[in-house]
Amino acid sequence: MHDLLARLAWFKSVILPHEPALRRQVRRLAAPGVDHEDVISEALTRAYSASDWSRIDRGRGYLFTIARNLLFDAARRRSIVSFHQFADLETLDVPDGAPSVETIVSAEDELRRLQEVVDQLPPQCRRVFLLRRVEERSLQEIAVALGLSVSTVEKHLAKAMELLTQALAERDPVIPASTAPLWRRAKHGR
Amino acid sequence: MAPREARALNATAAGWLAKQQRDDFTRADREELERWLQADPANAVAYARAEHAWQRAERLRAVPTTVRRGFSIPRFPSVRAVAAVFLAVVALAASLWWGALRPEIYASGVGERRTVALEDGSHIDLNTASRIEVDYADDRRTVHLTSGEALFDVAKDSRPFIVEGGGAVVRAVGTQFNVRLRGQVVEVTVAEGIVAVGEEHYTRAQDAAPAPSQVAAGSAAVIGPGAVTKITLEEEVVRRRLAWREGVIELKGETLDQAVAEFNRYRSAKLLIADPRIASIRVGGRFKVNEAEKFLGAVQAGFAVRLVEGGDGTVYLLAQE
Repeated sequence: MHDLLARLAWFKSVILPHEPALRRQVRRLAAPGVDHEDVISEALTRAYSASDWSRIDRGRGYLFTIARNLLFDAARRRSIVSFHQFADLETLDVPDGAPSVETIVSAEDELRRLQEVVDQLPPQCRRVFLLRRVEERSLQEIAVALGLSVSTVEKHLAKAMELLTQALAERDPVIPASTAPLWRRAKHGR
Repeated sequence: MAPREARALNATAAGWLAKQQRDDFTRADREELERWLQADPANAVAYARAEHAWQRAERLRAVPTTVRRGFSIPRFPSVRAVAAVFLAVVALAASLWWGALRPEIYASGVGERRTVALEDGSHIDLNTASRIEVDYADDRRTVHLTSGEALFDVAKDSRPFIVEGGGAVVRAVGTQFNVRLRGQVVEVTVAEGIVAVGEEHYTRAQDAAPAPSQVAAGSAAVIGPGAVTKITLEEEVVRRRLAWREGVIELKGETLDQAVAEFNRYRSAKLLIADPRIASIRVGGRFKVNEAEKFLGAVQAGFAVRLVEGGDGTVYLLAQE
């Protein structure tokens, strides 16, 4: 159980911040006919399943290498790889040294992104989500305030989270690619 | 995975996240969640993505007004609030009893914020580590700001409302303005109406005094020894200067040095920039006044800055070598 939680924590802090960048790159580079979503979710699942996860602290390079291999395989299977595409696929292998421009996001940008995304939720979902996440009301309190049952409140919250997860996966988080996340500092005592 | 399947999986993961928010999420529920997570790495990935989004959204908590628009529901009063009301009632009764006891003194501790309601309907919000003395007489209402920062929401009355502090005098009738003592100078920001500002010794000696400066809504004045400087502010800046009332610090291009000073007003364990090379980094963002940790996290994430905690709780900011 402890392993599961540790792996989840690692995955969230080391891998997931790079999902938006991964999505952009895969969409840009996938050969025609290759299903982007398939490659993205397969890359994430393989990254999650890494046996030596605790030694991986540069998520971007790791994730992108997996994605590149998947794209190669997919292209090879369809035997439609051009020179040009091979060259492009090489560019997927972004080193973890300096953060790429696209991932430098200020706290303010992040806030604006979050607000945009939240503003697009259906009204009732948004209300429930904000009351829970921002105002930290219990589902019970929210149910009373909005005149709904607790299970309806829960359903609205679930819907809000589903939509938010999808929308935020397209938007870079505030943590740039180069930064060693907190768990690593804790681990190596740095 | 087929798109429909992927969507269903994401919905299930979001459902688990929502279910966990229930007060009656049991141990059995938790065990079921763990089994589901372990059954397939794709489940765990979907769940981690939802949780990641949930954690990212925490930043919204630093933005009370714009996002919360009309969605607030009243909180049940906490024990502390009830106790505060009780104490206020006792204090009021005592002050009525002692009738002539003047001036009344109100103060806030470090990190504390409080609102003082006065007999004429005026309100004063005290920011962190601030202190005022209220002295109402038949012909004038005087408030001395002896430390910190306060926002005055002045009710109309035939008597002028006068704030004195740090060598400055602000005179108003019915208006809203903020006064902050900043070391050598006093900063007055007017949100509504017009106030007259001047230096204390001039205004007192009414004869030789230069005419006090008028400062209107959307403007500010800085009163220093021998000078009153007026500035017109963008609406945005006025809003930011008053953000403390919502318990928020808004930064927009301030230096790390200034930002740290801002957070330190609310902290007893201070933040200290131990390396002048990072002092002039420009930072932005909206944070709760008591969430310096989030601010530090964002700084660490965005810049080559590392933190070292001293034995006394002081947090030192250093350049990352």
